[in-house]
Amino acid sequence: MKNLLELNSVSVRFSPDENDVIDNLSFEIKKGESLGIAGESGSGKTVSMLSILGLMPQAILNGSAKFDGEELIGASNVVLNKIRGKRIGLVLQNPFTALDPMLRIGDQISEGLISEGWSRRNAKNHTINLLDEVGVPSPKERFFDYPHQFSGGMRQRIVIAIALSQDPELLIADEPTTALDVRVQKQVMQLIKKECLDRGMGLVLITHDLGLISNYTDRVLMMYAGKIVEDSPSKKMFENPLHPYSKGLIDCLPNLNVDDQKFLTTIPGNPPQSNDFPNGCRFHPRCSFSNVDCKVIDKHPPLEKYKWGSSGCIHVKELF
Amino acid sequence: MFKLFNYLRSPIEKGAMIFVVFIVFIALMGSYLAPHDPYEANFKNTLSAPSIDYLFGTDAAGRDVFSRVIYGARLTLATTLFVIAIVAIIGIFVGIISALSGGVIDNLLMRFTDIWLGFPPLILALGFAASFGAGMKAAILALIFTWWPNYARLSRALILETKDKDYILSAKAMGVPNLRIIFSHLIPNAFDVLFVQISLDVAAVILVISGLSFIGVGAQIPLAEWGAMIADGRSASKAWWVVFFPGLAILLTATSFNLIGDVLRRELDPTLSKVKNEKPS
Repeated sequence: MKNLLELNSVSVRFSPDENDVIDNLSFEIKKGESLGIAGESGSGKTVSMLSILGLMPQAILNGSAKFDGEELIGASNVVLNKIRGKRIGLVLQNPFTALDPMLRIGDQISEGLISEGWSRRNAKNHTINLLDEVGVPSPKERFFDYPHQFSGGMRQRIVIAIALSQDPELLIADEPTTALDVRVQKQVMQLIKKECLDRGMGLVLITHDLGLISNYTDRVLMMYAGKIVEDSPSKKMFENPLHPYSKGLIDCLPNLNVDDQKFLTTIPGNPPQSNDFPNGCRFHPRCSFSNVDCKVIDKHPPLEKYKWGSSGCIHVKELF
Repeated sequence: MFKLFNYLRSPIEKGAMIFVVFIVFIALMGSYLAPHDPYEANFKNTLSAPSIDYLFGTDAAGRDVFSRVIYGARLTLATTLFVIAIVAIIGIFVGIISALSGGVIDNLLMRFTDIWLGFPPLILALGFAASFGAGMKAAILALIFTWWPNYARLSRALILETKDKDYILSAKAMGVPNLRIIFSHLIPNAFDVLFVQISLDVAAVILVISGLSFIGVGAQIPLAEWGAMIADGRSASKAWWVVFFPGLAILLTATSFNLIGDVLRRELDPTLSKVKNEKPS
């Protein structure tokens, strides 16, 4: 299968004299593949995806990110605008802020199409079909409504309709369900999954909800402090994680079994800030497997192939 | 139009709204409503008291004050709207460029704005009047030069607040070009606050124009301008009507526009709840 998006040692920093917040990120997404990116807040999940699309003006990027052979890093706005929306769609986290309160939702959905050169009439018909497709009832009437007239779940459907409007090949969903209640979360995720399957569209699901990863993605990248620490097929990751951090996160999931009286486990400590990454493995101060070796290696251990995936831990064998 | 009345809470606000509609009507239809030519002097009939034929009396040159007040409405409103339109366009343009470019350009534009903000309109109007003669031109130019910085600063602040919102990011992620983002997202979202500012400024500009004309820098007699008419009537101390009616016109117009501005601020204030007619979904 062809690689749709290919990142090669991408680094991101926000000011020339600061450390990289994203350090040597390399991965690829194949056509139609669904990839989950998971990790704690601040691990660089969102920054990595938004900055390669040129949506973080203050970010300084290094390395190479190719979309279907076209270099994104350093590309001009004109080049990026041919990819943004048209070939890569973006669903933002919070549907309450992702819609312009002053614009009718129909106009917001068709905006991308019209700036692409569609006629108003065609864009409107397309938009109404799209609203119907994402499950907004009576789309012809609701085309003219404003965002505040919709509930959270409906708004997120509209945000998804905006992302789908130009029929992209890759959908980046940045925590699409975090602001929604559990029942609506499921509907929204099923909608995203269905659209991906129907359109043969690739999916990057950025989330800290491991439940979503296991249900809706084929492959998962675990990120910690700007680094990928594990790259595995999603199902395998839950059976046997290849990194102590993944293991820690899985253990953090609450168990609904009432007989189980043990306290919820956590990973001790907090993720490090980009200005004081520890020497050696960035995870070692919080890791239960760490020993002297983890501190002396002068760099964070690189990803190495192991069994079904890749791991960035020198103790990977001890996890079995 | 009648829906608008639901937003007016007190009889005073309703009165102000009615007066604004009334004065706009007068301004538009003035030439059909005025019983006499406002510039026709009649030296046989100077300073005559209000009567059936001359409702507001006549001035020192025998001109009909009633007709002059009616014509003054058109002059005052047209000049005010012209000044505000120019000032708002310049100010919003500078504000948007400043907010979106940031860095050195932002700094330069804002310091330039500050310099103009420091000029009092009165002094500048005196300067213009001295260099190319007193008249409406001097008053209008002075107002334009000193008033746009308010709009530049306000719109810069509004755009700065809006430009990092998620929906702007979302529009960018859709590949919407920057110019389109400015016109379809940034300006509409700043417009409710700008509109309140505009409606409050209408009253202020009316007062400044009348004031400049009153001290002799702006409109000159015989031009039918309310401020100039008051200045003209001061010499005739017994003919109260020459001063009273233009003064009343200024008072009522400025107060009404101010009250409507306050109503708009109350109704459009972004800190107040906007969800008044939410549909269940």
